[in-house]
This record gives sequence, structure tokens and C-alpha cells, in this order.
Amino acid sequence: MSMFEPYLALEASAGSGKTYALSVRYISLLYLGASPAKILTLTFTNKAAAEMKSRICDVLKELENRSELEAISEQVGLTCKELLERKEEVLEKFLKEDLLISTIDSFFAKILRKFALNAGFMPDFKIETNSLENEVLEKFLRICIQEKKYNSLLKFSINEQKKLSDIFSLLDEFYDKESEFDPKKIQTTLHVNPKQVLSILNELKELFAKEGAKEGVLKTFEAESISEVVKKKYLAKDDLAYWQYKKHVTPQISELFDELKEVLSTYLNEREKYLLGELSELFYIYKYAIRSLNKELSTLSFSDVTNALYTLLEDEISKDFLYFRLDGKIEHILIDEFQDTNIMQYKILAPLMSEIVSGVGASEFKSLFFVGDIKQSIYRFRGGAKELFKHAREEFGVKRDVLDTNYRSAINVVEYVNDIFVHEIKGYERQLVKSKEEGYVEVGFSESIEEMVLQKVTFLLDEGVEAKDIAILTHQNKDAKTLKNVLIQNIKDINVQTEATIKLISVPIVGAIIDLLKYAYFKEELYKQNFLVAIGFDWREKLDMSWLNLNQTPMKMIISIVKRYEIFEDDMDIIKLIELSSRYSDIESFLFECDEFGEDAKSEDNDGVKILTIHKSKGLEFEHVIVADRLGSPRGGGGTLLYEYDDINLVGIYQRVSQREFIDKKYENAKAKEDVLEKEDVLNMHYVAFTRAESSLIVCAKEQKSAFKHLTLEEVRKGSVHVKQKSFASQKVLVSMNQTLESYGTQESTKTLEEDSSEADHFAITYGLAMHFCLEMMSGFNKESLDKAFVCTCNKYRVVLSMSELESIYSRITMLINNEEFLSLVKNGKFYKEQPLVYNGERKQIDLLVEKDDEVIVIDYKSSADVYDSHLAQIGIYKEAMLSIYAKEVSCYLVYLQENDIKLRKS
Amino acid sequence: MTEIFPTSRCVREFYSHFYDKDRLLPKAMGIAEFESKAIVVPHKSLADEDTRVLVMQEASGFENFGELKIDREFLSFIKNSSYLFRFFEELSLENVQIEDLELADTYAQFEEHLSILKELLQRYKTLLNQKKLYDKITLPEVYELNDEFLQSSEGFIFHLEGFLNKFELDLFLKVAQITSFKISLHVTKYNQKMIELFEALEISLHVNHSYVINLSTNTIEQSQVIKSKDINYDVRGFSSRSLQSSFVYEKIAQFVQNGINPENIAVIVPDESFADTLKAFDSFKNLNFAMGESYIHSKLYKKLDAVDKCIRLKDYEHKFRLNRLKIEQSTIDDFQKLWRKKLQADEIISLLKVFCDPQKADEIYDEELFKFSNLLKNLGSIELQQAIKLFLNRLSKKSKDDVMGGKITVMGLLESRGMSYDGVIVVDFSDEFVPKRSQKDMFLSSSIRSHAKLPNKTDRENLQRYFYYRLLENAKEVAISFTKNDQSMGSRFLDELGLHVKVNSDEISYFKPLFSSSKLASRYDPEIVEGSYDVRSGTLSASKLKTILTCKRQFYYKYILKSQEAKVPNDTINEADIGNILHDALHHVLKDMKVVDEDNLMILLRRYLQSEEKSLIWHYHLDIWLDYLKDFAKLEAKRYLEGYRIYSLEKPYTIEHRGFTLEGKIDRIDIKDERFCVIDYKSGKIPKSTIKTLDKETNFQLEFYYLLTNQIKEVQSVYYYDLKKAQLVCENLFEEKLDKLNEIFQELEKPLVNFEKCDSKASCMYCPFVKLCGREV
Repeated sequence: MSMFEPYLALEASAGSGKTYALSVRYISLLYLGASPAKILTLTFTNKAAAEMKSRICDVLKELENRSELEAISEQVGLTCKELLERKEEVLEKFLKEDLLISTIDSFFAKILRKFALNAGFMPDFKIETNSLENEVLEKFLRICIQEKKYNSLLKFSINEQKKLSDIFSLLDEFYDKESEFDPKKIQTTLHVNPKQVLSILNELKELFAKEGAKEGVLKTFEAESISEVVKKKYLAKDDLAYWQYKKHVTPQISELFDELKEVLSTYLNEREKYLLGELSELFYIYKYAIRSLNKELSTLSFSDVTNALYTLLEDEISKDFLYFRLDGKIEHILIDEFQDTNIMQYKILAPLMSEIVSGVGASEFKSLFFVGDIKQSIYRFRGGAKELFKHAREEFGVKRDVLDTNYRSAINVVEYVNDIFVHEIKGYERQLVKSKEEGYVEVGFSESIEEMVLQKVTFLLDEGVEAKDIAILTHQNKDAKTLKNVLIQNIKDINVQTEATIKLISVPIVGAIIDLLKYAYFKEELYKQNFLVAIGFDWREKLDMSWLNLNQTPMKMIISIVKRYEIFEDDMDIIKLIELSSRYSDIESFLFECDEFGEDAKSEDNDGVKILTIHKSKGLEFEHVIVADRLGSPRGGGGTLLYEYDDINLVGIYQRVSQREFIDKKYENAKAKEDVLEKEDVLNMHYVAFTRAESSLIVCAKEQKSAFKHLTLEEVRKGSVHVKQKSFASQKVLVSMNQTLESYGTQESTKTLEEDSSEADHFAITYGLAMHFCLEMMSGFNKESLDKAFVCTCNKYRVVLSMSELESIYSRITMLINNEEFLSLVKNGKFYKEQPLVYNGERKQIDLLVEKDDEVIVIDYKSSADVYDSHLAQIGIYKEAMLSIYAKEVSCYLVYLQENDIKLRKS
Repeated sequence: MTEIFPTSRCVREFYSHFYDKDRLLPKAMGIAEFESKAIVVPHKSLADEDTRVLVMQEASGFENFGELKIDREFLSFIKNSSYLFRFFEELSLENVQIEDLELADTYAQFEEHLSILKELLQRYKTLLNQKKLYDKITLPEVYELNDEFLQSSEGFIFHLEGFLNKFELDLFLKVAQITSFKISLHVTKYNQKMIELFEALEISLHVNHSYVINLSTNTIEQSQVIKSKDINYDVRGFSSRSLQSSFVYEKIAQFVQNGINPENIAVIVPDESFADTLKAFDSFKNLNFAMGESYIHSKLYKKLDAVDKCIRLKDYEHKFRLNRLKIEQSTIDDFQKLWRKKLQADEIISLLKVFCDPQKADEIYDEELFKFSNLLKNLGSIELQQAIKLFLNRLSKKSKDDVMGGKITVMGLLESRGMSYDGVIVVDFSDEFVPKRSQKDMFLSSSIRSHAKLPNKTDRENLQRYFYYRLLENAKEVAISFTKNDQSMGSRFLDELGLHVKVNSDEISYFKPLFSSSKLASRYDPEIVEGSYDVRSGTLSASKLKTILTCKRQFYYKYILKSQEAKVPNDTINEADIGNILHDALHHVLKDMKVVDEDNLMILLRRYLQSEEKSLIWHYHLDIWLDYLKDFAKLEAKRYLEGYRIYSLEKPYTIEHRGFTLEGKIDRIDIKDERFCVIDYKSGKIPKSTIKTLDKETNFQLEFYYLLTNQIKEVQSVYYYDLKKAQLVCENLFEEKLDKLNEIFQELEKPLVNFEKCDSKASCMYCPFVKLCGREV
């Protein structure tokens, strides 16, 4: 009996075997007859996609030994034996077909390529991660001028005190949310003046002055701008009956205070309308500018891809046409990390999903599967919408299932995580423990997180834990750097490995190489000094760069620099730089872009303690985990706009203003929702952090201003540190490169066919070729043959020669076949045209070879008599060759087909 | 018997077996040459690529064509029409009519789409015929056999590799009527399709056999079972793509050591772009490259391309490039003048010859120019910019042969057709490249394809598998590598072939051949720089003092080593650039103004700031500033009425003070009632000092200005002029700072020694010398 559930949403808490479930599902589909090309599997990262592919491959290959076998058998409804019998067939199908396992981004890019022409792109467009900010700005401004929007843009910029780059990041937000609201529907209004607000404030001040309030009190009613007004603390109060105000408040003041709030609220609403209105007008110009550049440069970013695809599917492409270009319907969909999908992505995928669940008849085998964990949703800041999980389930009538057992962590860890989060996260279901190991959990508090982390690392090492089994999770990138330094300075011989958090160009040696190139090019001393210092020389040393040829490709230059200064030290970053440079055709394209290179440096790959941010740790697991509290203070709140959602629907956009929640009900409501979401983000992040641990979890928390303040953490120490037995067996045997290289010489000089023509006269060459071709095509030396051969010649040479030129060839050959002397040469012989031969190990080709009973005649056609000497030499060689091949008389002729006559010369 | 091979490389290889002795050679040719000789088309000539595009563009001039969304604009049509050509050519080669497709499109889902293509094809064919041209698309309909040529040979044998299309089969069958025609081929599981094809001729073939089939007699002349043998292989994954080159060199060395002749080793690059990397690391020049060197690396191409880019995209990069390529501005001007003008062929050709060296001919360029001039003559007049794009596009497809290269050939997969090598090395054997999956099928789906009996995706991929399979099978030793990292894994075809990674590479050892020994020392990072500097020995400005107070090391770099900030010129704008241009504008405008009135001042400022030839982003910033400057103009007019007059602008002052020579260029000094009002313009933030931080204060600009001027005349006040808010702002702790400054002078009577780095890294952020100290973040 098959247990296969065609529409399934799997909630997989951390460590509950999500990847396992995915591959079981995938392989079951194969067994149930699905074609790999029709199973769309979407993952969150390229790495996950690659892992998924090789995992499926591995499981299939070793199916008999894998625990998946049983699970698959259950799903498919076949016995294990039956499965194994069909293994080869299923494997072969999987190996051959084009797989649809990729990230959402690459999948979208793939679709967009198929519709590129519809969108006005070239189908081979490039995908770039580097932003083209300057180019977009320039284009944007140009269109603003053309569209007569430029002046209002200037005013907007001045009124709102926003730099062009600020405006651009707001437009970016609109761009990413375009599927959620229609900027066209936003009405624009005029800019409003805060005069009324300020005058009420002034009136209040005067009233208080009249009541004899002191300077300090009066000062709180002074403001030059709205941004000062909204900071006033009394806005949070219902009335002014507090502090020193209390004794001065009159009914008139109270009334005016209420009016202030009302007027301010109205003002802020109006200003918001102005802001949104202007933005939405600019948005279309912005989008147009991006599209134009996409087209001009044939380059898109991933968000361009998503947006363009969304627009296309929304406006232009019918579903049928989509399937046509996709080459058939997608019959099965598997989506990993579904909680991180954003709404635009979802809206693009939704038609594919609805096609699957639309009941076109039970005969068709289709399925839909998504897996994820809303508790691990930590990408809201870049659009991840965890609400989609529930929404999609309801929209497509998908059954919900839960993976309830934790396979990753030890008993104490699982229980601790259960205890901590069961009260904090709504709908949290306690996980069952699979592990038999006790595990270790410690939570401690300290003033100095750095010190505590150091102490805990030392503790683990002392317990016998290997450095490579320890991971430290931080809140921010820069915390990782700080902690790395702390460990290196304090623990002898420790290796520390941070995940790629620095840019390639920030790697000192990479920067030094680039600086040297800049020195060679721009001749500025500082570049040279930077280079010298980086490779260990005094900055005053001299450096001669005349050896470097700036006309080479950047890749070649970099390689020669690295070789010449011997600065290579098993350094992947240099290799990466070289690979990167291979994309640039010359030094300018490289130098003018190199400061913007977005590539990350290769993460250090050693057996050291790993330090990484919590965000980066998602999806990973480590033996012993130390979660470090935030080292600094949190970043201040939010962007310019606040988006309010109902389920997955965007229901409001507000301008974020401090204290606005106290004077505006709607805003208050939106803000409250936002606060809840922010709190959930933090909880989820900590859930992710705490669930990375397999054996030990150590939390280092601050007493004050802790990032963990949403959790009720108490000092804990439970269980003991378990040290894994060192496994030597798993150590891979590595072979080294041990060949020494040498030169094997160059190719033997290419055996020349044609006489070396130094003449650059292409007309003469082409003309000569056409004539030879015509002569070659003639089977006999008569008009009939010539006419036929001439047709052939015209076919081939009409493109490069004029009709009259071709006709002159015809007339020259006509003279030839009427030339008695020539005809007598070829008479009674067997002839070979363009005959190849070998002489002295060289290949030659003879225009015409006439074999007679007692002699051999070699004929070489010439179209002009210009280079007589070399002709003689050439034919002399032919003669020698013929004498060596034939035991016959040999005579050689140069036959000149000239414009007006035929000349024969015997050599 | 004339031998026909899939490529001319095979022809060369064939001949190479005869070099031992002088003799006449059997005739051999490539399939393309054979076809061009065996076929004639009376009264028509072959259309070249650009002509075809033009005819197609003309053919596409009908209403419904727009539905296909192919831009008809000339330059993009060149690129996009390739999809149309590919489609039509394939139909023609397989002898499939669009009507057949319409029948295959059972649900009539794409009726409209197909009917547009049908109309287009019809119009295209008609136009070609009218122009007395033919091409690959119309060839099957218009060709005749060239009996003259065919009869003059005793017969032909074609060594087929892979698949045969319908057109070729029909041609061969016709030829077989005239003269003897044979085909030799291998049937493997990857080209099983051939079995079907020959079944129609009642010739039955089997997998894993090689055959010689005589089409003239319709018989199998030879048949042999292909014995499968074990492949002697090594498969490796490398974390970085370029490390594969090291593996290639290792394997070459090993193969040679095992007795394989270097000429008999081939390196296959599934993605030809990898050839550049291989070449760059080939220090012993052991490789030669079948794909040659793309013409885009040649001098002439680069120059022409640089001109094109420079005129299209005006920015620094392109200007610098012209400089390096030694292209005169006057040349650019010549092009620029005619850029959008329609020119005649000879005018264009003479411009395209500008960079040619009369002493040294460039054959490819000259040949292309010759062909291009013929095309232009047919085109009539065309815009220079279009002509250049078109010409660059043609050149970019050319490549220079790699002559005098090493003995080991690097080639793409297709180039290896029909060849066999003892040592075969394949790189990039990853899922991405092997097999390469074409996404270029715009007009047909697989189901329509199979209904219409056109080759489908699997067939195409199988063809590649076939080529690999043949190469590997014929080799004595095989080495395969691929990139193995987050983004890339080995091709699943490896599993299919039963090849596995048996050992892993110690990657560090693979670095060695790429770069020999390393002598990298740790950075030069002296704690102190010895030396001493007496501040009184030179002049002292406020900014120099600021540097001394901020960081002694910075002072050393800047004033003793005399190193200067270095930056790649770019168009991004920072506050300082804007500050500078505002200073210039104010100086320029105010210096000639006799009477300051608001409107006039604004007019002049506007004229000055808007006159600069700058990017739009610049103008945006300047326009914003012009708005702020309205208040400034108002204030200026008011001050003028109040009696302030300008005393000096941007004037340098020097003075001796307590043994120091102070100097400074003062933005502006106003005078009223014989008293100075000294002014420093600020476009950004106004510096503020606090009592608390007085000890760490480094900015004494206004105090300097005061000292520089108060001996000339009584100074009423020194101000920062906040240009944004149009306010004159006094230094808040002026007296205190003046005292502090005098204290500092006293300290500075001692010379500066040991230029150490400053303690706080805060000032490193904007220090131009940050890399010298190794303090960059």
C-alpha cells in the first residue's frame, strides 16, 4: 500500500531530518514513474541544490545499504526487494535527464531566458551581482528630465531632506514589492507646509509663558522643524497634566494640546501622501531606467530577473505559452525552506502550483510538496514571508504533517530548547528526542561576552574537544571578527575559521596585487608604496614596472606579477582573483571595476574553531555550539516606510515617524503588528542559534541590554561535555601532484599547402582562388565542362566577386581551352586536378597532373605573371617530387591565364 | 576513392600517415568541402551571413511579425534573428515543413505562432529567390548535383561520426546513383537513432557495431562488433576551476612518461573559455589551441572597439583606454562627427582603415574589410555607428590560428569528432557542461519535435555523449577533472560511464606548478619611523597642524615621504568634490561683482554651476545646491547693503608667529568700517568644539585665520559660512582654542621625532595612507 500523500506541507523543526525527507520524497517520485525533468525542486542556496543532487545520486546508488530504502518502500508501496530490482532503471533515468533542481533565482532566470525576447532582453543576458548604481542614477535622471519630472524630483529631495541614494533605496523597496501593491493607484498630493503645526506649538509656548512657566518648560515648545516636533516627549501623553506642565495647564492649553496632536497627525498623513505619491511617480521612471540598462548592457541582477518575470507573467504570457516554453508541464514541485520564499516569488510560482492541484483527472500523476519551519524564518528583512506557509496550504488544499522527532541534538539540548521556546513561540510543539546521548547545556551571564566566550572555548578544549568541532555563533559580522582576534590573541596555536565575511579585495595580498597594477597604470607613488609594504619591503624602495606590458590581458599581468615577486603562498584568494580577472579583456575594464568587486574571499578552510553569524549558521549543525550575545548595541530602528500586512496582503504603507503611534490610531495598529513581527524575528533567530548544537549548547549572555531579553534565560549547567572519539578512518587519502613539468617542443612547422603569399591584395587572392576552383571543377577541357563549372564557381564566389570579374575568369578559361599548345599537353593523358602529394615529408598540391604512358606533365595555373621567379622555384620542387615518385619523364609548365592571352612556360 | 571526413583536422590526420615516403596521396576532404563541390545551384549565388540577416529583416516586415517579439532594430536583429535561422535551418535539414509542425501541434495551441513563422519563411524564400541567392535554408529545394565533379572521382567514402540528417542522407543517396558512395559508422547506444534511419533503407544495424555501408548497392559491406574495453582513467574534483590546469599539466607529464607521444595527447575543453586559463599557466608552451585566438584580442579590433565604446559611453575608463592604445583625440573627433551620418561604402572603408599599419598587413582584418566592402556596396549607405557595430560583430567571430604552439592540442568537443588520441584529458566535466544543454529552442516543444520527427533535446545531448564516449573508448589513458564546490558537481554522465573519483587531490600541491616558490615576507610594519622634523623649519598651515595633532605617522607619509592620495578616477561624487566646485563658483562669481544683488548673484552662480560639462548626477547635486544658494544670495545682498565689501578672495597669507611661519589660503575676507570679517566657507557640517574635548582638539582653522590676518587690520570676527543654511557661524570656543593653540605652539618648538601611528583607529577611516599602516578594515 502506498502511503504517498500527493499534496503535502511538511513542518520540519530544526534537526528533524528535512533533507532526508526531501530526498525520500524525490526518489519515491522517481519510483512512482515521475520523469526527473518534470520534478521541480527548489532550494534556497546553490549549495543546497548541489547537495540535493549528489545526495539523491548517492542514495540511489547505494540504496540497498541506506535507511532511506524502507521509507521509500513505505511511500511507494513496493517491497524493498522490488525497489532494488528496479534500481538500475530508475538510476539511469535520473542520470540522463536534465534535472530541475535549483535555487528559485536560477529557476526564474531560466524561465526568463525563454521569454527574454518578449521582455526585450537577449536570451543570453548575464547575471551580475555588482550593482550598477551610477549608471541607473544617470539614466534615471535623464528620463526625469525628458519626462519633465526633474524639478519635482529636486523639490521632493529638498522637502523631504532625502539624498538621491535614499530615494533610490525606497524605490528599491517598491521594486521588490511590486507584486503586492500598485504604485499607480497611489494619488499624489502637493507638499504640505508644517507652518500650522509650528504655529500651534508657538501658541502653546506663549500660553505657558503667560502662565509664568519657566524657561526650561518654554524651551520644550520650541522647534524649527517637524523632526524636532516629533521628538517632544509630551506627544506620548494623553494630556499635559504632568511634570512641570501640570501647574500651568489651563483648559485653553489642554484644548490646544489636543489640537496640536490632531494637526500634527493630519500633517503627517498629508506628508505621507506626498512622499508616497512622489515615490510612485518616480517609481515608473526608476523601473524604466533599470529596464533600459538591462537591455543595453544585457545584464540583470536577480531581483531584476524576478521583477521582470513577474511583470511578464502578469501582463503578457499566457499559462499555456509558459508551459510551451518550459517544454511541458511541471508535474511535481518540491520546495525547500518554504518559509523564506517572498511574495513575488510565490506569486510567480502559484500558477505552477495551482496547475498541479487543479483536478484534471485522477489519471495524471502530479504532486506538490513543501517543507520548512516558520520558527526558522529569519529573512523577513529581505522579503521572506513565513505567512506563506499557511496561506499556500489553504490555497492549494495541502495536507499538513509534522516531523516530530529531533535527530540532531542530544537529550539535554532538545529538552532545553523545548523548555525555553514552548512558551515564547506560538504553536510550538515539543520535539521528541532520538539521541541517546545526554548532552551538555550551559547558560551563563557576564559583563564581558568576549571574556566569557574565551573562557568557554578554553573549557571545551580542556575537556578534550577538538577545535574543529566548536562553533561560535554571533549576532553580527563584526562580532565574529572581534571574537576571532580575542581567541587568536589568547589561546596558543589556535586555528580560527570565519565564514567568508570579507570581500576578496580586502584581502591584503589581493589588494597589494591590484595596487601594483594601479601603480603600473596610473603611476601614482602611493600604490607602489602600498604594494611594497604588503610584501614586506620598505616603502622607499624603488620599483621598476617597465617590464610589465599593459596591453596584455589582466589575467596574464596578474600571473606575471605573482610569479615575478614570488608572492604566492598556497593562496586560494589569489587563484580567485585570477579567475575573476579572466572575465576582463583589458586593463581598463579591470581597474575601473576592481574596487567594486562583490566577490567574497575564500573562507578559511582549516580545522579551527568556526565563528559565524547566526544567519549564516542556518541549515548547518555543529558538535559544540557557543552562542554569543550581541557585543555592541543594537542598530536603531527601521527604514523610512512601515509596511502593514494582513496574512500575505499588504494593506498599508506608512511613513515611519517617531511617536506617531501616539497620535494616529491606524499607525499605532500597524506599528503594533510590526513590533510583534520584529519580536518574532528575534525569537526565530535565537531558535535557529540554539538548535545548531548536536552535543553541547553554551549560551553567553549579557546581564544588561542582552539580545536575549525576549527569552527568560536563567543560569543553567546541565549534563556533561561529551567528547567524540577521534575517527581516523574517515580521513581521506590525498594524492599530491608530483610530476615535474618540462617542455615537449613545439609542433612541427605546419606542412604548408599553398605557396606563401605575402601579398595582402585580397582581391587578387580571391580572384586566383575562384579561377583555380573553376578549373578544378571542370571534368574536361571543353565548353560544356566550363559552363557547368562556372555555375559552381558563381555559387561560391559571387558574394565576393562582381559578375564582370567572374566573367573575366570565364573568358580567360575559354582562351585556355582554345589554346592548342595547352590542349596538346593534356591530350591523351589521364589527369588529376588538385592532386595532393608528399615530398620530403611535406604536403604539396598540384593544380593539374597529366599522366601519360611515357611522361608526366605538371601544370601550375597562374592568373598573373608578376612573380615569375618564385613560380619557377615552386614548380622546380614539383618536378623533383614527380621525378622521385614516377619513373618517367617529367615536364612542368606554368600556365598563365592572362587577361588577353594564354602563356605557357616550360621549366 | 575519395575519403570524406567530418572535419579538416581529420583530413590532416589522415594525411599524416603518409609522410614517410614521397608519393601521390589519395584524395581526402572535409564534409563541408564535399558538399560545396558536389552541389550546384544554377543562376544563384550563396548568400553570406550578413546578407541573410538583411533579407530576413526585410522579410519580417509584416504586421503579425511583432507577435514573435523579435526586435527588428538592425543591431539587435543581427543577434536575435539567429533563433529564426537556427529554426528554419533545422527544418530544412530534416526536411520538415511547417505544415508538418502544425499537424504535430495537436491542440493547435501555437497555431498563430506557427502561422507567423510560416509566413516569414515564405517571404524569406521568395526574397532570396528574387535576389538570385540561396542559403542553407533553401538549398534542399534548389540544388542540383555537380556531375562534373562527382563523376571525376572513382567514388566516395564518408566517415560518419554521430548522426546523419535527412538532407545529407538524401544527398548521399542521390550521389550514390552517379558514383559509388559508402558510409562508415559506429553505432553505439548514444546514436541508436541511426538504426531507425537506415531501417527505412532496409538496412538493419545493431548497437555496438561498426559498419561500412555501400549506398550505391544498398548493402552492408563490412560489419564488426565493437569490443568494449575497460577505460584506464583518473577522475578528480577540484575546489577551484583553475586548479584543473595543474591537473592537466600533471597528466600530460605522466602520459608522456608512460610512453605516449605528446602529439597523441588531447585536452578537451567542454567550455572553450577555459582555454584562456590553460594558456595563461602554460609556462612551457606545451599546448596548442585548436580554437585559435579570438580576434577580439588583436590590436586592430581593440582600437576600433575602444573608439566605439568611447563614443557611446563617455567616461573615464574609455578615455584612459584611448590613451593606452595611443589613439589621438582627433581620430575620435573624426568618427564622432560622422557617427550618426549615413555614409557610402568607400567612406566607411577608409575610416575603418585608419588604424591599419601600412607596413604590416593584418590578414584577417584585410580579408574581412574586403568582404565587408562588398557587403556595404550591396547595402547602400548606412550610419557609421551601425557599420562599425556590424564590422566589430563580424571580426569578433574570427580567430587567429595558433601557429607554432606546443605539441599537445587543446580543443572543444566538436573539434575532436572523428579523431582518436592515446591520451585524453577532459576538464570541466561537470553537470553544467557535460552534456551542454541548449536552452535555445524558442519555437518548438519536445512533444511537437517528436511528433514531427525532429531531433530532440535527448538526441542532441546524446550526440555529445557519443563524442565523449568515442574519445574515451579509443584512448589508452584518460584523465577527467571537474570543479567540485558549492556551485558545481561532477557530471552525472560519469556515473553512467561507471567512472568514479578514486583518489582526492591534495590541492595545495597542485598550486605549485602554477606558481613556483613563495618568498612572501610579513608586511613591512615598523613601530616607529626614525627621523626628526622641526616644525619651525617649514611653513605651517591649519591642515598640516591638524595632521600633526591627529597622527604623526600620517604626517610623515604626507609631508616627509610626500606621498599623495591616489584614487582611480571615477564619476562618483563625494561631498569634498561638491565643496570644491562651490568654492570655485563663489570665488569666480564674487570676484568681478561690483554691486552684489540677489538676482544677479543667482544668475551668475547658476550660469557658472550649470556650465560645467558634467554627468547628470553632478548636475542634480548642483541643482539642489542652487536651491540652497538662494538664501545665500539673499544674505549676500543684505550684507552688501549693510556695507560689507570683499577685501580678498582665496588669497594666501603668511605670517611669522612665535618662530613659526604660519600660512593659509583664506576663502574670503570682508571688510566693513576698516575691520576684517574673515570667512571660511563650509558646504558640509560646521565643526563644533566642546570644553571636554578641547585637549584632543585638532582643528584650529579659524584661529589660524585670525592669527594670519589680525596684524593687517583689526579683525571684527572670524566665521564659518554655512552655505546650506546661509548663516555665519562663530567659533563657539574661540578664545579657549586660541589659548590652546599657543600651548601647542610651545610644544611644537621641540622637533617631531619617531613618527608613530596614532592610538585611535577612528581617524584611519578617512586616511589615504591606511594601507601603509595595515589598518584598513
